[in-house]
Amino acid sequence: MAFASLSLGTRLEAGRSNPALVAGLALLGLVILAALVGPWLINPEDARVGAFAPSRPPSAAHIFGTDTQGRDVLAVLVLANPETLKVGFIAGTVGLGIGTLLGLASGYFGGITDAVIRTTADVLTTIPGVAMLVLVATFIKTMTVGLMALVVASLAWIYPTRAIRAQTLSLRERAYIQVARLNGVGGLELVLREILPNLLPYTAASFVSAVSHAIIATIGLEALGLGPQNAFTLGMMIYWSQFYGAIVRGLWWWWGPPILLILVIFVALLLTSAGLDRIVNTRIRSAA
Amino acid sequence: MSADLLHVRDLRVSYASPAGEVRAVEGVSFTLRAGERLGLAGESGSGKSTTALALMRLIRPPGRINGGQVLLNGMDLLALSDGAMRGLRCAAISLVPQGAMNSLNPVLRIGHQLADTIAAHDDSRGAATENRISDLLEAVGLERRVARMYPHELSGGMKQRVCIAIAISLRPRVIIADEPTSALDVVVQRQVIETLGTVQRNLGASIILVGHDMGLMAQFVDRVGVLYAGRLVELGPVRDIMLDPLHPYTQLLIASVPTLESRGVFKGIPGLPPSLVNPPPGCPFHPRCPKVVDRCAADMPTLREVRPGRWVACHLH
Amino acid sequence: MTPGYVVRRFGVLVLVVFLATTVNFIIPRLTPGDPIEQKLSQLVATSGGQIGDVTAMVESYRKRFGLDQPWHVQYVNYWIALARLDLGFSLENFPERVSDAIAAALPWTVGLLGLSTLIAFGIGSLLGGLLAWPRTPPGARAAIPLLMLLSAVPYFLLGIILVFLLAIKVKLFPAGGGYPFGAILRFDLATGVGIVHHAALPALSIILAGIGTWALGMRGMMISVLGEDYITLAEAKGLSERRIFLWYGLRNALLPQVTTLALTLGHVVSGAILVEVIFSYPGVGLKLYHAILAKDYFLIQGIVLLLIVSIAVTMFIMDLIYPLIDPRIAYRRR
Repeated sequence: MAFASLSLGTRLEAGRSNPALVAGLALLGLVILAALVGPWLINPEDARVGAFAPSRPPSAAHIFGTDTQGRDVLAVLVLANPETLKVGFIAGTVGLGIGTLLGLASGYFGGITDAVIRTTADVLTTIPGVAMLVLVATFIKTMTVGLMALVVASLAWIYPTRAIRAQTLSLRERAYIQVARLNGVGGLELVLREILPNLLPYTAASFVSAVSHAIIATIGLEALGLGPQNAFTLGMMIYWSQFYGAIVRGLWWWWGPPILLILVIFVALLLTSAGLDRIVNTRIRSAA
Repeated sequence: MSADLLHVRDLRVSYASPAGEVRAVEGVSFTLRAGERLGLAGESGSGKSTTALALMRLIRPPGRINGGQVLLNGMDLLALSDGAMRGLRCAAISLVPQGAMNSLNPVLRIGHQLADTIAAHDDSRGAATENRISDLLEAVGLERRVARMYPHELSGGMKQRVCIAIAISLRPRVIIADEPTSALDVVVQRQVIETLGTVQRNLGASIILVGHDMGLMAQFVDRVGVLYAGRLVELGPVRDIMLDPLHPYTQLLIASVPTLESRGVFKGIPGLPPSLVNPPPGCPFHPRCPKVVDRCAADMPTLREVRPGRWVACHLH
Repeated sequence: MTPGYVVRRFGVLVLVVFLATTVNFIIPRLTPGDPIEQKLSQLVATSGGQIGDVTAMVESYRKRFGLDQPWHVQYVNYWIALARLDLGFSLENFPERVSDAIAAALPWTVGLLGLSTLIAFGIGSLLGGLLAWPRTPPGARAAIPLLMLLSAVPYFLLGIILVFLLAIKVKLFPAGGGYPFGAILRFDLATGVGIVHHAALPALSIILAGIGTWALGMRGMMISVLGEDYITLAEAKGLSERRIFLWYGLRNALLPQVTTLALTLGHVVSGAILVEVIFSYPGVGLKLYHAILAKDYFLIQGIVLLLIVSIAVTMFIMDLIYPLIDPRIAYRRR
C-alpha cells in the first residue's frame, strides 16, 4: 500500500492524473532547495546592519534593494526563508507526531482515553490559536526560532489528532482489521502493522495542513512583534518593514519579496494538499 | 388508436463513463393507452429507470438522450424547448421517484413542497392552495397536519405517499412510478401501491410502473414490458405473460418468483447481465439463454407482434 | 431544541471560559521574572537611572496589584475582579483601566470584522453556489484558480498589498486610521462617510481574502447537494431553475457552511487583528500590537482573555442558532 512499493510506471501514471500534487510538490521542492542552498550562495555580511546605503530601490547591485537599516534585502530573504520553513516543518512534525499518537490512541482504544482526548481537542478548537499563542509568546523573555517552533507546535497537534482519530475509527471497522484481530494479533502490533500503513495518505494530508497552519501562525505572531527579534524570518521581515514605516514610505522592495515568497509557499502547500485530497478521496471511493 | 396517449419510438440513452459509452437504453418502443397501467420490469441495469427518467427528459450529464421520440398526444417531448418541457413536468407527466427517503427537501415543510409545485405551474396561492394541499394529502390517506411537518418527521411510507400527492397535484395524464415501493416493508408496500392505484383511477390517468418485482406487476398492472440490457424483449397483457411467457428471459424471471404453494430450491438466472459498453453481438441474452440456437449469436432479434397484443424479441418465435 | 442541548452547549462554554481564564492567570506567573520589576527597570533605564530605590517601588506596586499574596488568594481575587469586569490597570498608560482601553477599541473591531466577515461569507457562498451550478457559463470556471489563490493568502498580507496600491501609489483611500485625522466623532453623515472611507481598505482585505475560502467550500458542498435525490424530484416537479438553485440547492449547502464559519471563527478573528495593525485601525488588534511593543502585560492578558471569551460566546450563540436553520438537528436531540 505504501507509495514506495509501487513501480515507477504506476507512480508516473499517478503523477499524470494528479497534476495538483505534482505541481505543489515541485514548487515546495524549489523553495526547500532555495532554503538549503541559498545561504551558501550569498554573503552573510550583506545582511548586516549598515552593510550598504539604506533604502535603495532595486538595482543591478541589489536585486531587491536595501532596507532602512542598510541590509541587502535579497540576502535577508535568502537567510529568512530556511528559518520560517524550519518553524513550519518542526511545528508540523511535532504536531503530526503527537497528533498521530493521540489520534490512534483515541480512535483505537476508545472509552475514557477517547473521551479525554476528544474533549480536550474540542475545547482547544474553540480557543482562537492566536490568542493562546500571543499569551504564551508574550511571556517568553527571549524568543528564538526554536522556541517559536515549540510555541506554535503546542497547538499544532489538534487538527491532526481529530483527522487521524476519525480515520482510525473507520479503519478499525474494516474487514481486514477484524480478521487480524481474530487471528490473535494484539493491540500494539495491530496498530503498527495494519492500521498505521493505511493511514499514510491521511497522515500526509494532515502534515501538509499542520505545516500550513504553523507557518501562518508563526508569521502572524512575528508580524505582531512576538517573534525572535534577532533572527531573520519572513514574518520578522514584514514586522520590521511595518515598524520602520516601509509601507507608507513606499519601500515596496522590502516587504514585497517576502510576501511573494510566502504566497509561493502557501500556494505550494495548497496544491499539495489538494493533490493529497484527491488521493484520499479516491481511496474512499474505491473502498466504499 | 384513439385511446393512445403516449408513443415511445426507438428511445436511445447512453452514459459517458471512464470505461466507455454505456448504452443504457437501446431502441425501446412502446405505447401507453389512456387510463392504462403499464409495467416496465427488469433486473438492475436493464435500463428501466433510465427509460422512465428519459420520458421526462430528466437525464443529466454524463447521460444523454441519443435518439428517438416520446409522443405525448402527438407532441414530441424530446423536441420541446427546455422551458416548454419544464411547464409540462408534473402538469402533464409526473414522477413518483424511487427512494422517497431522500427525495423530499429536508429543510422545507411538506406543505411548502406541495405549494411550490402548484405555484410553479399555475400561479395560484393563498387560501385556495391551502385547501388544495389538504385535499391532496387526504387523497393519499394522510392527515392535514402533515403539511406543517418536515420530511424527517415522517415514516418511509408516509414520505412515499407525499411523493404521490406531489405527482398528482396538477392532475397529470401520465404518472411514472419508479420503483415506488422498493425501500419499504411488505405491509407498507401494499398500502402505498393501493394508494397509487386509487388516485390513478380517480384521476383517469395512465401509470407506468417501473420495477423488478414480477409479483407486484402481476397484481397491479394491465400490461407489462420486460427489459433486458436496454431492450424490450417482451410486451403484453400481464395475465397472459405470467401464465404463458414467450421469451426465455421472461420465463426464468417468472420462475424465480417463489410461490407459497410449493417448496423447492430458489431458482435464479445463471450468469451475469452483459456489459453495456461492449455488448455481445446478436441477442443480448444469448450467453445465458437455456434455449439458445446458433442464430442467436449472430442476428439481433426484433420486437414483433407474434400474436394479437403479444410482442416478443426472440428467434424462437 | 431541548433544554438538554442548550445546557450541554452552555457547559462547554463555561468550561472554555474557565480554562482560558485559569490559563491566563497561570502562564504569566509561570514565567521567570516579574513584569512589574521588568517594567520599572525599563523605565529606570530609559530615564537615566534617576528614579531611586526601585525595590521599594516594586514592593509598593506589588502590594497595589495584590501580587504579594499567595497564589490561591490571588486566584480568588482574580475571579472577583473579573466578575466586576475589572481586568486590572494598563501598565503603560496607568491609571487607565484595561477594561476602558478595550471598550474604546472594541466597537471598531466588531464593526469592521463583523461586517466584512458577513459580506465575505455572503458573496463567497453565492459565488461558490453559482460555480457549482451546471448551467453557469463555463467561462465563469476560470474564476476558480483565482479564488484558490485568494484563499491561500493571509488577510494581512493582502492588506499590505492593498495599502500600497490603493493608498500610497494611487491615493484613492486613506492609508490608515479609523477616521479622518483630527476629526471629532459625531453622529452625522460627514463622520459616517469618513469612517466608511477609512474602513474600506481593511474591509476589502478581509473580504477578498475570505471570499476564496467560502466560495471554494460552498462549491464543494453544492456539488454534493446537487447529486441528491431531492434535486431530481425538484426538477421533476417543473420548478424554475432559480427556485431549485436557491431553495433546494443553496439552502441545503448553507448548513455545513455555517458550521464551518463557527469553527473557523478563531482563525477569522486572528486574521482581522493583523489587518488592523497594517492599517493602524483603532481596534482591539492595534491595541494588542501596541501593548506588545510596550510590554504592557496586563493589557495583553486582558485582550487575549476578551478574544477567547468572545469567540466562545459567539460559538455558543451559533450553536443555538443552528437548530433553527436545520430542522433535522432539533429533532435528533429530542
